Amino acid sequence: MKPAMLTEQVTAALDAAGITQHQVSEWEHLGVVARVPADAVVGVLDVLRQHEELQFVQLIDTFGADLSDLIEVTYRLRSLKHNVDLLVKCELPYGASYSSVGTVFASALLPERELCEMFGLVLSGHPNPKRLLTIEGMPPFLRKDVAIRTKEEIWG
Amino acid sequence: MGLDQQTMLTPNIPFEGDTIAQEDLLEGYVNPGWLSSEPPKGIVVPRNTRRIADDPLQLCTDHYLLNVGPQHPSTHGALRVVMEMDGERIMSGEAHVGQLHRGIEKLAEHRRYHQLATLVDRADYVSGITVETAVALATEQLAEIEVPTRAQWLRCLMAEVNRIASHYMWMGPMGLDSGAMGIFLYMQKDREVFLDVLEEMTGQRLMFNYVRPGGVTGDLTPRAEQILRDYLKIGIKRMKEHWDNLFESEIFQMRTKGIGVLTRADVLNYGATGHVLRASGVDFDVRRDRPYDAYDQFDFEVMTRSGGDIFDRVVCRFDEIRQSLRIIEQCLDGLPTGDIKAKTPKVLRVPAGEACGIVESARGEVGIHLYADGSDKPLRMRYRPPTLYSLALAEVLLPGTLFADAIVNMGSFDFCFGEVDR
Repeated sequence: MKPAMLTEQVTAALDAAGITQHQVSEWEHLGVVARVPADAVVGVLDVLRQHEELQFVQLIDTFGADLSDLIEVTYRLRSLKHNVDLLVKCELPYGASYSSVGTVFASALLPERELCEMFGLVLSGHPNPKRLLTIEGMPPFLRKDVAIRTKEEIWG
Repeated sequence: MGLDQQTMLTPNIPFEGDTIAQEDLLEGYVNPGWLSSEPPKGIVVPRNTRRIADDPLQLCTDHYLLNVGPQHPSTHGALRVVMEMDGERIMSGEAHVGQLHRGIEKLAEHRRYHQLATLVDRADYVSGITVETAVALATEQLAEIEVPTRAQWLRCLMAEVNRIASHYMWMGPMGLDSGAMGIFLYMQKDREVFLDVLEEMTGQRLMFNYVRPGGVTGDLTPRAEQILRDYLKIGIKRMKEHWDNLFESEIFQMRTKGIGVLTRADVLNYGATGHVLRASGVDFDVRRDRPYDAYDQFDFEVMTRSGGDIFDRVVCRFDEIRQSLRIIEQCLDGLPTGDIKAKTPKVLRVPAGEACGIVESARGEVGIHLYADGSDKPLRMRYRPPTLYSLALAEVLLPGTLFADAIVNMGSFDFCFGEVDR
């Protein structure tokens, strides 16, 4: 499926589902990216999964990035029918509450735990909202305000 | 929940050989009738049993918690699984990962683009070439580097060599898990051939640092080509031996057929990739459907199976080895001449943007998502570990299975914990 056509169809699908404030466009290197508000993500993923024509049946990846003023969360969806990927992006402020999309795609359950511990978000609506990789008391490592070494490690 | 927690919380728990008073035992106990005539004065707790405070006479029938790993050899890495057991049957299980967490994604934010390959080698330490390729692809997209054709073919050649080495590394221990001892040694012998090739070409056996943005570091040497040509003559014969040794074995078939069945809906829902996806009947391979490097020029098939059980997962990979051998042969026959490296600056500065390199690694789809901010270091590197997603599937499979089956089950996903924990 051509990117222009995918953009058109995703826009139509989100409009039909009554999701406002979305912005679907084609990005260089990445393909089609849909920017949606953070509180609408669960709905958006559900719509795209259930859509008869598009059939985004797989959530390939869930990850975040610290853009120095906010946290950007990205979901990579895949439609096997059209052999095409779609990126859904939303933005969250620091320390915000992140609501799980595990009810729509079970593949998000483990990466969400990692996402929330690494960026200091509060995981809600998750069946097992524990940390995944680190122990309690560790800082959110992938945030830009967490240094790679502490003063003690550098100066002794 | 389990017995261990209760024994820790309750004081005065009798252990084997202790004599305890009868009234202690009868606290909260509904008399079934046989104790009413002559209650015993004291009861000797049988060996290897412990009392549960609220259900005294049902000795040893309660669920108990079992820790498997992180040092257990059959978890194939630093995986700890806490299982709630009823006898030998697993009631529920939860995987605890993170023992090998080194913060590779954070470290990548402090490395230049050329140095990322050394980091991801340590993440997936069994099939490093493919992951290095993903980093190189993402960087090349951002920096708009044209890779010479010969370098692309060499990447494919080395990726397939590494894939076979990785598959043999996994399939032998699969035999160990399911009770076949000898096959591990035979498969290691084959793996050595491919490790020799990797050593000859890259200088390393595991941490290659071979694929760089813009090309590869070493050309095909005559000795490496000779080793591969020699192996291609006997490769199919060796595979026939492995098939007879492992797959025709009655024990292996009984241990794997019809066990750990994953449906098409399961694998799609849990985001599985690689052989887990293809063994359940989903026909998707990044090499064919999203061709990178020179994969659109090779003639190979994507092997799928329909059963979704452990046997299908192993056979699916076994067939992949044959396809990899085909690709290696085509690579050696048609390797184009030319440079092996594009001209790139020593310190690569890429324009701001995002790019994603997706490759088919030995254990599934690896995606490296790079955020660039215009400097010589990435703003963020996301490593998509395929086996993290398989781990969630393994957790789903645990309840209701026997412990011995769970070991084979977990083995069949080919976890690599350097990759899961990063």
